[in-house]
Amino acid sequence: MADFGHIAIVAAFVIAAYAAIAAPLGVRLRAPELLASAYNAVLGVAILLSVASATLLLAFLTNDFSIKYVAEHSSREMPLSLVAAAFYGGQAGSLLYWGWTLSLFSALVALQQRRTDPTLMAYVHMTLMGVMTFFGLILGFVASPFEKMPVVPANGLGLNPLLYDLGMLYHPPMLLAGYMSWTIPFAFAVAALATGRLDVEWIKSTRRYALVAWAILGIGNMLGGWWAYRVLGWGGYWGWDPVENSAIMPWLIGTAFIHSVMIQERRGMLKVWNMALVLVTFYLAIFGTFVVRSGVINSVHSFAQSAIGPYFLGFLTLVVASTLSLLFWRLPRLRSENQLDSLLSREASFLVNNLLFLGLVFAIFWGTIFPLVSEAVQGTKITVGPPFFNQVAGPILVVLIALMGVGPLMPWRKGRAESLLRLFVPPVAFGVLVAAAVGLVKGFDQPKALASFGACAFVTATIATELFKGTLARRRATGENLALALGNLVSRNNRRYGGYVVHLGVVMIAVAVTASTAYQAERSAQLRPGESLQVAEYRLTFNGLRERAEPGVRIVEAQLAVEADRELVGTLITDKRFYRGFERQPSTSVGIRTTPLDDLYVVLAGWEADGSASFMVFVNPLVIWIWLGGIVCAAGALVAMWPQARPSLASVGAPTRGLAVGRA
Amino acid sequence: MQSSLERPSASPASLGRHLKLLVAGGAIVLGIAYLIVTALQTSTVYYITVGELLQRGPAAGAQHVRVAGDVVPGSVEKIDAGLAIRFLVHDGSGQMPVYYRGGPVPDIFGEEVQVVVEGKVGPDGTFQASTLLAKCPSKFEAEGATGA
Repeated sequence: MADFGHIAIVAAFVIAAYAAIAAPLGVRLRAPELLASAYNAVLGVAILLSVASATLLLAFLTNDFSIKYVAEHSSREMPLSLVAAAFYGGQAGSLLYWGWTLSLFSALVALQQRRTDPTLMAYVHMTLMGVMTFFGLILGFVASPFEKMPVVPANGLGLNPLLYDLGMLYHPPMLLAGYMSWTIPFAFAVAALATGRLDVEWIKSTRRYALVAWAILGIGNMLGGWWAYRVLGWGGYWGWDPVENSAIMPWLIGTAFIHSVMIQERRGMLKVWNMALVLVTFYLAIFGTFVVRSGVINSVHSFAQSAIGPYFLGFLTLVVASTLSLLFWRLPRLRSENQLDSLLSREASFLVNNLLFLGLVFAIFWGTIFPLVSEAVQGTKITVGPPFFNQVAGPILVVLIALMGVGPLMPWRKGRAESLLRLFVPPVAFGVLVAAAVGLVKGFDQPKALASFGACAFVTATIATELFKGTLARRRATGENLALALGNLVSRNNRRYGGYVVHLGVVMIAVAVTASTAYQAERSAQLRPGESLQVAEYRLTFNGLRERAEPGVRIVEAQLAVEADRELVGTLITDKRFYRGFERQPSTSVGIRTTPLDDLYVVLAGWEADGSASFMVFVNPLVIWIWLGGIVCAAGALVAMWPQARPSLASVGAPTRGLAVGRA
Repeated sequence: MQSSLERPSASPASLGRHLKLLVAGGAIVLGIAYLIVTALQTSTVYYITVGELLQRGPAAGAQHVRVAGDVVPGSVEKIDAGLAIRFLVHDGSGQMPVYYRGGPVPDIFGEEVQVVVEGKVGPDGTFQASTLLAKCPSKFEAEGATGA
């Protein structure tokens, strides 16, 4: 079985390399049969890597411990539901997953874009298969998931208990898929540069893929935070760890891109800029995979240091050097068709948005690699911790949030100061009012939090006004009722209103993050059975420890009665689990009681022989709204990327009734 | 810039616009640079070895530092039912006692595990850690990493 999987990977490597050469050669020699064979090769690679992945999966299911990877990440006792986590729980498996999903996406793009200009697609295939070749090289010859054991063990080592969590089933594959999917926009960018067809066309075909990649990476980050919050037990969801940083950086640049791309579509401006953003996003995605896997930067997440670090660095260097020279070569063709007319315009507000995103990423990048830089320059390693990131990112994020309210109100080209003033006074006043109201309740000692709440209120007001005005205008024009008018408004202008929905989701997240950062309550104590502890409005009474056993695991659990305002509202359980084979590494389950207002978060820290136990207790305001906001963002992204059946025909003439009926 | 000069519309007005844009962009860049520089001044932490810390002696007390090393087998002692822990950490250059309280002890913490502690040296020579990161050498790669 190991040989079979290995052969599939090596074959995929060879065929990918062939396609990466055949596609551009076909363009050069004007040989359509070469292009066709490159196209077939793309599909072939997808099939081969699917076979390889299925083989590894089968090896897990049949407990084939002759394969080292299976022996190290699985055991006979491992429940079937964890097979997926075991698949990408280690290095070789996660890289196979990267390569496999890339091969599937490449095939999907090839199929979807069959009718797109074959020259452009040839270079898209070349780029995708070039990246694929690199992963084939790693998987086939450096970190093979099908490496064999010298002696077949009777049982495997088992999966690390830290991975025994639902969040673990979803967040690594989502993040890896997020990194991977930026290869598609990147491939289109390279193809546009290579062919010299740098008009709006490549942007159009890239836009939706970029949005998909952006959404996947965003969901991956969100799930990562959710997993950390529920599993790691420090009461937070984001710790500015290098691995987290490298996952958020490509997402932030990607966010800048999906905004500034609108300026290019609309006004033919910022062509070099957009190109650079796509390229940089991909560099950061590879950098992220490299950071996660190489251990160059000290991180809680860092995995065993391995041989693949230098390969990734080499690959990244090659990619950066080749694509940047391609970009410089094409600079003359990337002239802007228009100029910025005014600072009071949507273009300008997008530009500010882009500058801020870039500045934010620069700061995060700088903070992440600071230990490396300081060591190289000064000879001493200096690290910067969460305070650095919070101090820098906080203000930038607040301005960015406020911009979400400014951008949509700004007209294209040039706005008139007086009319803009009229437009902005009500929402700004609302924002100030909300900030003041929160200040009156919570005190004015946290001005940054108040600024953030104010910005969020301002944005909410502008979005609500926009929706309201749009709906009313549509009702006047069409005679539809309010609900139908709103529905049609959104579905006719899905990109715009999908964007607003995402913005609303971001506001929800921002409010929740601000509240849970600024107003978190925390206490820890050692309690004997029967003793109580008061944290914020909650009173916890320790009811004692209980030991029980489940197959393969021994559990010590603590039960606490929870009272809120002197009323019993429930019990919380937090425990430590000792899995067979990992007795020295107990896994702690956090007890969380969620309400719309706050999360009561209790961690069992340890216990004594006399039955007393110690707890760390956090009360985190509004945390559930982070996850709900994430769902709203994902829904908004889905609305924005929904294909328009009849592009903007309806918005052309006034008599839309017939069309509206036809669609309903 | 060149292209704009060739155009008839490249009047003083357009130059003024460019200037405005430059000023606005410059202000943003400067603002971010200011944030980074001030944050760096207050939140950098030196990464040093156990040996370096011991060498500095009592003078090291005032400074917040980060130290990496391995937990000495048999040295882990739990206090207050696990709310605090005391252990010895060593790297090639020396060994020192660490006291940690105020945060969760990571699940993967244990003997021989590689840890990073952040804090300062107390008057009694014990390192008072405010942050404890455990880096399980065997995290997801069970074998072959035991020596790391």
